[in-house]
Amino acid sequence: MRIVQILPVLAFGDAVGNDTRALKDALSEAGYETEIYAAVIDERLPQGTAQPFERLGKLTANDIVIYHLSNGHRLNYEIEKLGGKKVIIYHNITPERYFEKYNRDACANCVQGIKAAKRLAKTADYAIAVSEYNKQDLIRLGFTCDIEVLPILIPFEDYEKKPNAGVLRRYDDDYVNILFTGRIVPNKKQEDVIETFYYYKKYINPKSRLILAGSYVDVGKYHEKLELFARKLGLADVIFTGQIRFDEILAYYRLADVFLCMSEHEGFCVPLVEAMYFDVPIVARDTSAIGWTLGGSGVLLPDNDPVVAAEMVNRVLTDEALKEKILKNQRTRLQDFDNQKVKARFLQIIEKIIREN
Amino acid sequence: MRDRMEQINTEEIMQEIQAQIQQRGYVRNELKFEDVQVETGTGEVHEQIDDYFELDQFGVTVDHMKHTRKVRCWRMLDGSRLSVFFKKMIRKMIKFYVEPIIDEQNQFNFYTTSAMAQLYAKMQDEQAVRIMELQQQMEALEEKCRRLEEKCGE
Repeated sequence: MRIVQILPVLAFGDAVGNDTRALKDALSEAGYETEIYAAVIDERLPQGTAQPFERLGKLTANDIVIYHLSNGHRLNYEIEKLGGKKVIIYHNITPERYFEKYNRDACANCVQGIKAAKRLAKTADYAIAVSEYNKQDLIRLGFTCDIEVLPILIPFEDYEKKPNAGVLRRYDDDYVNILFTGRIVPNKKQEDVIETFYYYKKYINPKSRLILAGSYVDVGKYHEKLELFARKLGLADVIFTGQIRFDEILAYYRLADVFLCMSEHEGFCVPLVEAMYFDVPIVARDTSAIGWTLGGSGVLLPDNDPVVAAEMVNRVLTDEALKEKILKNQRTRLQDFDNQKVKARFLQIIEKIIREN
Repeated sequence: MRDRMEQINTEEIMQEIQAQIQQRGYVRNELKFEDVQVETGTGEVHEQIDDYFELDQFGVTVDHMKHTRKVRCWRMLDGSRLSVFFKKMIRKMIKFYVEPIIDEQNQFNFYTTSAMAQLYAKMQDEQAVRIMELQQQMEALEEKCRRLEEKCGE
């Protein structure tokens, strides 16, 4: 029996790629014959991490196919043609409305993804959602099979690597560093983060800085608009890092005084868990999967009111007792994402599928 | 899971925050993100969509491509004399590896830029022909109208 994982793009360092590789390790350690197949494999990954999809041989009824679904791609339509049990791991597809104004291609990709997901609902024997929100999304998409909730596997050991000394030197001063990490895309609502920072800097603390760490190549116009918005608000100290190296991300987390997330749509939101790991208090808007990922930790905002958000950021930074409670809760929640726990749960699910096979 | 957590009275915090907001006398910013419009290279404001097509804008993009197509593997080194010396050493050591890659990239950039420039020229030609055709059509229709008016006048 073989267990194969298939995904359109195996990228270096992104959440889906990390999850896929970690699941392969878990399966190998448990003694299963396993491999990853992808249409595109990032060249930065070590040789042998994955095989081109074309090399996937014939699968028998005993084999298990794990497909990572996160966007529109031709592979979405290849899965139903394969033999074996089909397990869909759903990482979420962003609603197309967020891209309508900025990028038709991205918009069409989301539409295609949703269409394919509805089709996959008919062929899936089992589904794994990375959050409770995603599970509900799958049900809405027509999945009637068993759906388990299993968080993404996050490579915490990588976070122990040395942070970038240059970044630490540049921003380690008496300024308050407000951080948000993640791609600059419309669903993450970086404009609300900027507006919150505007009120915080103007009315509460001028010695503050906003760091928006993330690539903006996907939706360039949105990024241009954000930069212009910050300029028109007369805001200094808003830093768009663009695509950065991993050691630079580590440095920004080490420098952060508070993590501010105003995102409107997230299927899981790995940066929240990263902030937990680096002991950065989180202030986040209660939308999509954010409440589930925080699991009662951090502080949730009911809406996107930037004045309330600015005051909440200030409260978290100045009220030591509150900050300590938040950090304690975040450390507690972080335990739920422990790799050993998630791997063990994943293997239980696989054993269950094999038994039912 | 939540029973393991320290209880935080968010309702109370929210009430205190509302009181604090009153005290600070915030003036709401009137600029809305939706109202921000990015100017394109042609100096006009268009839709914000990334893949919005407009021939003049396409020309500006091709022009940007022409100016940035050549990638250099050499740049001025800064720092102290010692650090510049070491940087130069490193540059010399990796020259054999970097230069061929840069050459390949430049070759690709050259072909792509030329292809785009040809495409732009063809589009401009087609547009000029189309405009001429429309102009002729318009003139013919005007002539037709004039004759009909003359006929009706008679």
